[in-house]
Amino acid sequence: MFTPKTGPELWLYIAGALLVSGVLVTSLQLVPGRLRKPLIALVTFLAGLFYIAEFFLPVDPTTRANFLTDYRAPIAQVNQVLLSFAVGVGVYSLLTLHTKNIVRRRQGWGFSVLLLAAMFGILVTGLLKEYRPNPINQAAFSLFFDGGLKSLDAAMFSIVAFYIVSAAYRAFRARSVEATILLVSASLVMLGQVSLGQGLTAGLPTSGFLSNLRVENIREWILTRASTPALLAVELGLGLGALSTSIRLWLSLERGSYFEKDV
Amino acid sequence: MPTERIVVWIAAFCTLGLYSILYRENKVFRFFEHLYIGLGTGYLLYLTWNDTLKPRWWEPMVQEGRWWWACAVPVGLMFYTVYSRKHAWMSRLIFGLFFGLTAGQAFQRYAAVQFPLIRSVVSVPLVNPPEATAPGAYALSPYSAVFNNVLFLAIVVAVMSYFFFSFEQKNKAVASVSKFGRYVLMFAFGAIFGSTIMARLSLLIGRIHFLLHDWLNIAP
Repeated sequence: MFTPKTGPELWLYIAGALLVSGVLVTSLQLVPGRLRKPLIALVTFLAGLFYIAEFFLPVDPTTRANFLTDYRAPIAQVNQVLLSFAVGVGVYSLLTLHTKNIVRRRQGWGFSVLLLAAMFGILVTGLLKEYRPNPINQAAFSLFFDGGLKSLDAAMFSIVAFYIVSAAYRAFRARSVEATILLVSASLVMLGQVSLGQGLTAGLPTSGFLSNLRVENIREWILTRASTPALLAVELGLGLGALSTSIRLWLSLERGSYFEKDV
Repeated sequence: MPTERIVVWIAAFCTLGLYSILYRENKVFRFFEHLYIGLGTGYLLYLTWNDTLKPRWWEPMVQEGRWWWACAVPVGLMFYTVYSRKHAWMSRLIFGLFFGLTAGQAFQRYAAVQFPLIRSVVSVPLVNPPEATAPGAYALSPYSAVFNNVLFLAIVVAVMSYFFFSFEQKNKAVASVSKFGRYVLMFAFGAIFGSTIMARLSLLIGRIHFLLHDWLNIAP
């Protein structure tokens, strides 16, 4: 039944699939209110069960796979495609908000015009560059992407440098043992990364015991030997947290405004 | 004026426009802020189509004849029922599907990543570690390599004990280990903070170099 089609037959099958799945999705509205929550819990459980079963079921020693392993890639593809449809939810909200701003002439509505123009500008030139590749379309996309987005991206993130310096001033005041440790560690890492700092210990030999005291080697030691195990321990804790949360979600045990809302 | 030069001028105005916030909140900044959000959203849509939907959905359906991919449209549209009070529960059905899939993937990721991670921590060699004899080994090898590995284990245990909140840490030994864990965490956070500052500053240097070199042509 699920064999690829070509020509007019393909379009007929696509229309049929759209119609049947559309009717099925629409008929979900007929599900009585008291059965909706159990249905959501069942769908959640079955979706998670696939990966759990795939992990626990015995595997063929030669292929190191079981009968579910082959379906991992198609399911990941379906997941990715359906998630892409969800991108539109955010875009729709943005469009609604800024269109209302323009229609009702709210304060700053000109900025909303700019936002929508920029959004459609880069989208249309990007698609033109893909489907009608010529120097004009490529130049138009470059104006939006290289001139606008790339430079705005770099500038926005580099602005953080100014704020992080003021944050550093507050964090680095050695008022407690912890703050002093933070100050020493950050200073050594920063000094070890720039030639000015490296120059402070440039007189030390590059091999032998004293080379360990060169600031760039101290930085390397802090990052690989002292900082790594601490972050590893944090990562292990995070992993355990993620595991317990995922099990709660999978079994629909999670509580909160979203999960307890009536359907 | 060639396109490259126009791009440089636009990029320079965008950079200076965003930097105007450093003086105070102003309309020029708001202009470039909205431009940034618009361009970012448009580019996200472009990427969603070009990198995901086109190669993974449209082309398999239309070019390879896999007609059943058409079913993704009504299912994907279930996300949009969130805007209708009457049909909003259907969006929870599709979100439930993703919660389930994500939970299953998280479980597999935990098994694939965290178990080997725990194994790597507890299997750190404490006697005759291979790195002691490796080329470019530490000056005090093998003693320094052993010291580093012992320290590695001690730090992992101390930090994990700091995050153990299931019972009150009244025991002096446990409290001391936990305190050491807190100090080590501060050391690690300091290192991350220092690296982050340097990364942001290098971005800033990059923008200043762009303004002086590419735009104004006054720096080498």
